[in-house]
Amino acid sequence: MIGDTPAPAANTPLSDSVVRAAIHWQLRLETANDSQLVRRQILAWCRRAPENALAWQQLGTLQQELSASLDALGQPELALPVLQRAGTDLQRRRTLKLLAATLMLAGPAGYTVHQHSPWRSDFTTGTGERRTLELADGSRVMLNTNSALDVAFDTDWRQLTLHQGEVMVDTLGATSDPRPLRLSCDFGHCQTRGSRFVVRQHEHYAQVVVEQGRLQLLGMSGRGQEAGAGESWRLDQHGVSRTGNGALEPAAWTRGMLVVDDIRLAEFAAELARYRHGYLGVDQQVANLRLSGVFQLDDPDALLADLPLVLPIEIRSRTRWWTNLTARG
Amino acid sequence: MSATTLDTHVPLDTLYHNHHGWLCQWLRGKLDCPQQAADLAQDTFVRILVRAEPVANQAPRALLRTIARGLVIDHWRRSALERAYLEALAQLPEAHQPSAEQHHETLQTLEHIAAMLEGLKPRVRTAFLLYRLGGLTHGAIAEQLGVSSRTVERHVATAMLHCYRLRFDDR
Repeated sequence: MIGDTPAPAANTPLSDSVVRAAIHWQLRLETANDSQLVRRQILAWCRRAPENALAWQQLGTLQQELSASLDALGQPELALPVLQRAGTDLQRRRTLKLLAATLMLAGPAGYTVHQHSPWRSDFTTGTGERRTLELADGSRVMLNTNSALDVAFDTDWRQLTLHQGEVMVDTLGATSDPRPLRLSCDFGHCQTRGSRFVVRQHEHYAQVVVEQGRLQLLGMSGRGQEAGAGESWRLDQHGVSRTGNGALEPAAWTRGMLVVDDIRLAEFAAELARYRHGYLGVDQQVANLRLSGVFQLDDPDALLADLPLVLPIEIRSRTRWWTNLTARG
Repeated sequence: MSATTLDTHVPLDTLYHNHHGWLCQWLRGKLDCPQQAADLAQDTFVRILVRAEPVANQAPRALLRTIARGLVIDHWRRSALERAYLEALAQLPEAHQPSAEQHHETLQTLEHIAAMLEGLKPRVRTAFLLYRLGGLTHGAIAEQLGVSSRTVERHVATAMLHCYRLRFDDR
């Protein structure tokens, strides 16, 4: 009867932890110096439980199928940006439809019509794209490249949630709205009634820069800090802390520019890579070269092409999608 | 109202007659091209036809909408992919242009992979693609994405788990 005897392993989904362990072994094997040693360890792991052996075998099948698909694509430098872009384009397309629906719902009277049915909308930008939004309260929001923002206004709050990327929020034109504006990100919240500020979400922290007005910062622990104009702050798992100015002017992108002061080339390239498709690498030899200047963001490839004018480097492009900065030889 | 109405099923021709016009209208609101909308309306009814279950008399439009919505999303995905592919091809020198047959096959493979990676966060997807397709090391990917090698490894593993579940958990 069902339930009395354990189902054959092949029909029961394996637990995440077993599959993750098998994936871990596979990645170990691919990067190992001594693959014989890793193979022996994997064999031992497989013998420990039938689930392990099954996971390993299934993962091998998956790997083969995947490789067959990827091999069929032939030119990786062609397929790579296509696959990356297709996802973003689809997402953007959906967002546009969602936005249209939201605008219809909101109507000319904006949020007041819908005080009892809080509405919600998602805004995203693709690589190299910047977008300015006018919110229902008159606030202005600007999204930088590769960003995602939720907007949810209700009777008590004007809530923005930054899921990814970077945003500039300007509520100075909406100070008559009685509801506080709060922007949340993975590492905390910024709250304000009237200010202009920029939040950028990194992998392990968020950077907040106040351009004008005042801002309350709240870390995940609930500890608050007051931030004033011209200040730069960091939100991370430890809380809220003041930081100095980096080599990069934080709000320059809102004016379509990249402004850097004595920045390492590697850091500069990483920054530039946010705005363009494809791989942009920097050789160790030139990674520590330094650079200052004001650059236009609208055409990152043209910007890149100009770099050899100011630095002793050479740009090697195998295709448009595969670029490496190397020492001039 | 009574048990009998609950149990009744709608024959396909009645369904088609009563709702085809409405469905075309609904699809035209989603797609810019009326021809495309008509095609997808047709596809929606074909899906109903090949479905094992008959259509219950209750809310047949909700079902039609659900199926049609799925088709619209597939359509967007396919056309976005095709557009990106054609643009990328335009960058290639003449000698490297694929034949029509290769072109079709590549597009199918791209669709297959894109569908597999659907739902992954952009960062996870990029890390995975750079690793599996681009052949970069975790370190090189980490540098490009501005994250640690361990994060890259975690992203790659997450994508693998996602593909695994799609491949092996299907019923």
